[in-house]
Amino acid sequence: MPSHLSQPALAPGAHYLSGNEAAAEGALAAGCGFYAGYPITPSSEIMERLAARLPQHGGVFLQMEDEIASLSAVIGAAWAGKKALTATSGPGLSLMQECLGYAAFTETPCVLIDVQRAGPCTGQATKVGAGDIMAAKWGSHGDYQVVALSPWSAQEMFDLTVRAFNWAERLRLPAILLAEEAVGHLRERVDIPQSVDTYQRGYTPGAPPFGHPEPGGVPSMPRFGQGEALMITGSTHDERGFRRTEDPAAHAALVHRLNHKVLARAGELCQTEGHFLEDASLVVLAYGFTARAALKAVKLARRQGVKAGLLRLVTLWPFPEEAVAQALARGARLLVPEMNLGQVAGLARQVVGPGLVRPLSQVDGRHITPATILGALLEMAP
Amino acid sequence: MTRALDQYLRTEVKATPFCPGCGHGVLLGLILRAIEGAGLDPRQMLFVSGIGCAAWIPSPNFRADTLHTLHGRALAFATGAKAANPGLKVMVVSGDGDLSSIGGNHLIHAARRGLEMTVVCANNQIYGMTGGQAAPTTPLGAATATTPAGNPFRPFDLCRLVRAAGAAYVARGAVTRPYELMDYIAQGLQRPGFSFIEALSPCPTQAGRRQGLDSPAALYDDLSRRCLARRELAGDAELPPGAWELGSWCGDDN
Amino acid sequence: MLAGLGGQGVILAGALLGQAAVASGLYAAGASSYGAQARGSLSRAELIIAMEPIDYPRVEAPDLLVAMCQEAHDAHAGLLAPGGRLLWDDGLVRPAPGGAGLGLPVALTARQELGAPLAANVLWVGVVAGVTNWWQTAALEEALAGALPARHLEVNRRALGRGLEMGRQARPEA
Ligand SMILES: Cc1ncc(C[n+]2csc(CCOP(=O)(O)OP(=O)(O)O)c2C)c(N)n1
Ligand SMILES: [Mg+2]
Repeated sequence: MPSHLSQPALAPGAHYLSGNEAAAEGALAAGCGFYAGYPITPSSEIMERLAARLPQHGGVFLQMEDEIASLSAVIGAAWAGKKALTATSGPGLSLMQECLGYAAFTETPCVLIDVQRAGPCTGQATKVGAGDIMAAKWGSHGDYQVVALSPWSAQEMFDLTVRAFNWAERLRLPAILLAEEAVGHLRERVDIPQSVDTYQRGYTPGAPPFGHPEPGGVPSMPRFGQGEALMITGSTHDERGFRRTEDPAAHAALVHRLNHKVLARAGELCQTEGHFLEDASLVVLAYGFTARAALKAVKLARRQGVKAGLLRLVTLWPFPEEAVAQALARGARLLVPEMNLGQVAGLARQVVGPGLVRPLSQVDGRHITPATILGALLEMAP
Repeated sequence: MTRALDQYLRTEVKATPFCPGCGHGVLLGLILRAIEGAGLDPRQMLFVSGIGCAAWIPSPNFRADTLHTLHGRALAFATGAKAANPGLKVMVVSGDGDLSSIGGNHLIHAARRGLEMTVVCANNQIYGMTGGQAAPTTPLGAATATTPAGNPFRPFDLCRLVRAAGAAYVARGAVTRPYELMDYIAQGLQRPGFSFIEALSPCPTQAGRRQGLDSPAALYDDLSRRCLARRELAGDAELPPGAWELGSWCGDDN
Repeated sequence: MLAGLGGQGVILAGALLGQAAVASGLYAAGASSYGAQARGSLSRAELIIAMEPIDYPRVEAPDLLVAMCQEAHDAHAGLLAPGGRLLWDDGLVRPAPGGAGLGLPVALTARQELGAPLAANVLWVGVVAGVTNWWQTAALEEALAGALPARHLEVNRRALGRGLEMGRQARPEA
């Protein structure tokens, strides 16, 4: 059975941890056995904690020469049999993009934590932003899929890191935790459970490592040293791994299969959370730290008689189109506060049409406060 | 002799992609023989390569675990695999452009870190796969697709570079001296730590053609004449211009 | 909310209070901000403690503000919630004329009584716990032991005890 109950490395019970520390513990609990990374604010605490903790738990920690090397090493380690992780922030995500495409195309399970800061470029290294939503999905060339999750608390830095590992291993793809500085550096009570559900790789000796008889099926995941004579390549390949760089049908089939593998599971992958949606005529669509401010704003608005609700996106990729469409099914309008210039608002517009979506963008390196969101809700209120 | 290597090759692959006269095909056989000579079984090894003609030497030809990675990144992928499973016997085979230009930073850091792996750099002094552009190993003055008036810059001496970065074992051989080259590769494989073997391997199609050496025979002849082992030089004599010093260096000679 | 200059140990004080709150079964959310330099720029630790999970984890208007230096006082005093309590170090801060609250000789006590000026932050931890009565002393001591190297522990334990005393005396009902 691939699903498996594992004991977290940290004692069960309440701990006071920063989001970054909680993510490192989540990785250990998920069975991460390898970390490679390069220091960058505001993610470095993940790396520093794992530098101390991974070797205590039989894992391997490497500081690499840059972020390209980091994700490269993670992919190599994944094929050597480890659950593998790297963590970074925007500039590092930019450097990792070619490897991210490689991981998607070679179906390599791995997890990338991006603790977002205010970009573009070096931007404000210590300040918060959420401008990497599109980069996480579209940053590498070609058509591919990733799974990306958005934690709103230190607790979810733990929980969703575990979940990211499980999706990565189960679907054989790169899973991304799209965290933000405000959550990575937030210290909160984190309740470490007695056990967490973890996913162990499925391996059938001799089965093709890059193909499955069923559409959307996930191939067997072998590792080096099993005598499988693996052929792993980032060039177009067939189900055994032979390069098929001249064959139009092979390329189309592979690209479609890799995308279908994820999109066919959108229902299960797309996780959202509704607050006060039943009678809401104004719905705040938010994710990550901003959703915490939005929840407070929604409660304050309700005290003033405004029927506001919150739809929180836990999964950002694949984008939870259905939940967004449903939230508006009762004729509500959407307010989308985000620490970028409308990256998710744009996606919402594609789902529900432009007229019903009001972006509320803030890109000044500060998080969006409840007062700002409340102000916008009151303005929109009938 | 030719059939003897079949057990290590994926016989489903009918032909290598190498051009007539390309040294990489010769090198392919030499690597397998060297591994066997070192008492190892290539089928139990992991071969990591980057992107380029040279990266196709192991992938998919070797009946072994082969990891064909991204341009320049072979050493970083190999580092992850080796660190994750130190029991793996890892060899990296890639081109001069791959390992020393786009992957140059990984090369010096892998040598510094010293994780055990053997790197064979197939040096044809050119970007072969993409059509004969200048590499960091292209000789000063050589005509290439991107240096039509002659390369204005000096090439790397890869062996000196990797020695300075801390490799345990470094050697330079040439496909025109197959027995020496096989011996260097076997030595590297038996050495703990990071070993690096530069294998000079001529490219008739992309380099020779532009440099007035238009037949493979002329190119091999030229390379043979340029290669000199230290013992073939009188005393401490300087290397004549354009010549390659063949030989091996251990970490402690640094 | 605790505010001071980089190097005064503001962030550690906030972390100790948060850690001890969670160890006592409460919910806590803390955030800190500091300037780019390690020393000399304004630094601030905010902390929310609650009986149940915390919706919005940032402090907007503190119920209790500790100003450990003049700049911190001037920058943050205006944020105080209506009815909130302002405490300051009366050797280092000159409060606004007519400003409500209480000055305590914390830095002076750390220096003269304990011979450890750097323990002023832990003294403040004691004061905050003493004034509010929200923390269990054992949890604070445990947090201290978890955060500090053994050689600094003794003097900081005394600082905590002294702070608790000062805080209890300053309790509104006292
Ligand atoms: C990021 C990236 N940039 C450029 C290329 C194009 N490219 C493919 S192979 C190659 C050069 C290979 O040269 P070398 O490593 O010397 O191998 P050779 O073909 O000469 O054996 C280049 C530039 C690529 N694949 N990826
Ligand atoms: Mg080359």
